[in-house]
Amino acid sequence: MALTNLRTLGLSGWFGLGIVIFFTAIGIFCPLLAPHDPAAINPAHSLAAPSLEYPLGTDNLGRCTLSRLLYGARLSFGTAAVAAIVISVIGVFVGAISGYYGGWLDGILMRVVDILLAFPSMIVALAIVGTLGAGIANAVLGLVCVWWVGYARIVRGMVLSTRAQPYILAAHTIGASHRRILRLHILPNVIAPVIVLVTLELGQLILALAALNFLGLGAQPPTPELGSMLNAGRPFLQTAPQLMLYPGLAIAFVVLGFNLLGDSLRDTLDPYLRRS
Amino acid sequence: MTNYIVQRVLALLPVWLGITLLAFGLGRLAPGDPAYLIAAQQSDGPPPTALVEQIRSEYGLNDPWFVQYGRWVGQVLRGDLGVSYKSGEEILNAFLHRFPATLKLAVAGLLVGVCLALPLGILAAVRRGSFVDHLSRVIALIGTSLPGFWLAYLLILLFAVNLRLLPVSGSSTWRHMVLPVLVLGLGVAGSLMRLTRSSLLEILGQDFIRTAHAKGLGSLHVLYGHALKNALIPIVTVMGITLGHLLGGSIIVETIFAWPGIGKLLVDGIGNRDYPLIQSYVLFMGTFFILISLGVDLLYIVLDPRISYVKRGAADGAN
Repeated sequence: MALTNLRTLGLSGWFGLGIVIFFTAIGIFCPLLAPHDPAAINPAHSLAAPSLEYPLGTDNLGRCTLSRLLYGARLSFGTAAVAAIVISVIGVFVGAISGYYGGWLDGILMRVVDILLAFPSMIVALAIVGTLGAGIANAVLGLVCVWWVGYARIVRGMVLSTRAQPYILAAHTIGASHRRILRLHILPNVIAPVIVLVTLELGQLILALAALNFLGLGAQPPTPELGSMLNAGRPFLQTAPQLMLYPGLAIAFVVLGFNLLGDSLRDTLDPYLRRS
Repeated sequence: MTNYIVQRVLALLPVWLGITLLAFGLGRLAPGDPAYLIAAQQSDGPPPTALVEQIRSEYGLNDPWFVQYGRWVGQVLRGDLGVSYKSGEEILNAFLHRFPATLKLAVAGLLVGVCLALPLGILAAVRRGSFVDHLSRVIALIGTSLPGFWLAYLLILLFAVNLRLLPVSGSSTWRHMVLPVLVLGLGVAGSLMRLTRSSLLEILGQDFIRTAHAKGLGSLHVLYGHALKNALIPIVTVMGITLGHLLGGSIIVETIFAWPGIGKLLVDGIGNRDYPLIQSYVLFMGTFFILISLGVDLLYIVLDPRISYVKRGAADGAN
């Protein structure tokens, strides 16, 4: 179903897909693409203008801006992807259990969801990272802790409506176990909308991670990350604004790509989310 | 109507208790031994073991967690959020002192966002498929793709550094407010505009709108008297949520513009490993969001009198 529908993605969807593929390629091939070691300090070339050797110039420590951007994009994109996978696994698991079994378990899980949904996700994530201490793993953990709830809520809704279908009753009647029904009859109905949701939200996830990094709570120097590069460029806003321009542009582009792709995927693949 | 209000308050009570559990759990997540940390504040150099043990029993840190939790909730209900590790200031006082600044920023940001979003959203819905509609989509897309903190620096670069029209940071005059409010407002305008468009479009397709047109009402009258009033309900809901997001988003904006609100207080607190402050921040904001959602619920009654007659079970059935 998915592949035949991909043809109808539309121009903006293809454009978004192009951006996403472009950044994925950067993530995979950045060791080959980067002209320099992103952490190599060269004080003699501090804040150098773009040249053949340093295509985008250097930062205050003489590090190659292009190389740092490439590695930074890899880390930003990669951590967001890891976070998205963990989030969707937790969300699908909790949502499916909650929607399928119902009862007190559902009651407890959905109250937890209610509580976490009462907050803007950033606040709790920030508080968790702030308590655990700065670091890229803690930043991902903080976001995972708050972000799964939206998925759980949506998956639960889908499971509830799927569970009411006659074929689930039929499966019960021929003696299929709960686990078998969940795995073979319910989860396949949930996967496509979740993929759409992940694509739609990856952009926001990248933004949130970049924000944590920007506040100095994520990747620690000298590890390049787009958000922390923005943070490091702050003192040079007046003298070398390009240090803040490039990482910001990179973040904006990758998020734009995911937004375009997600919007088109939602319109073509998934009637369930279309109205939201 | 009183019933409805009481029901909403009762429904929100467990959520508030959950928030206290969350904040309490966060406090226990903090690395290090709290008794040692308190003792270290009271003595120069490494505190003696006897003092640590004395504080442990004094503060009841040996009790099971639910006893400690109960005691803590009791303190919270009496308005005691503890003192900041760093400054020794009463945390509740620190919050109440700085919260108006944060609220001012967030409300002004919401106003800017709404002033941009409503007219454009309405225009995009009424002239569906037109240039304005496409333009609104592009603006919304850019708005949701740009990192807010990056936009802040672009605006600083343009208005403060190059044009020298506005100050870079601080909070003493209204001119200091312009850039942070603009950053917050632009950040939420896009999604609010799309929501205005879609909810208005949905209403415009309904029968009573056709009836209104058919009986000869002018199109402006139909739009403002009939369509917009009905479209406002989802918009108001999202505005409540958006205000919450603005308060959360103001953490970064306050840090960038050195705005003396509680967002900046939190970031400074994180820098100082001021765990009671972080914990209390979650509790304080959580409580405030609950109040916002209560306010939104009450606003529904004004917008749609039918709501107060709907039984709670029917209203919540959609969940």
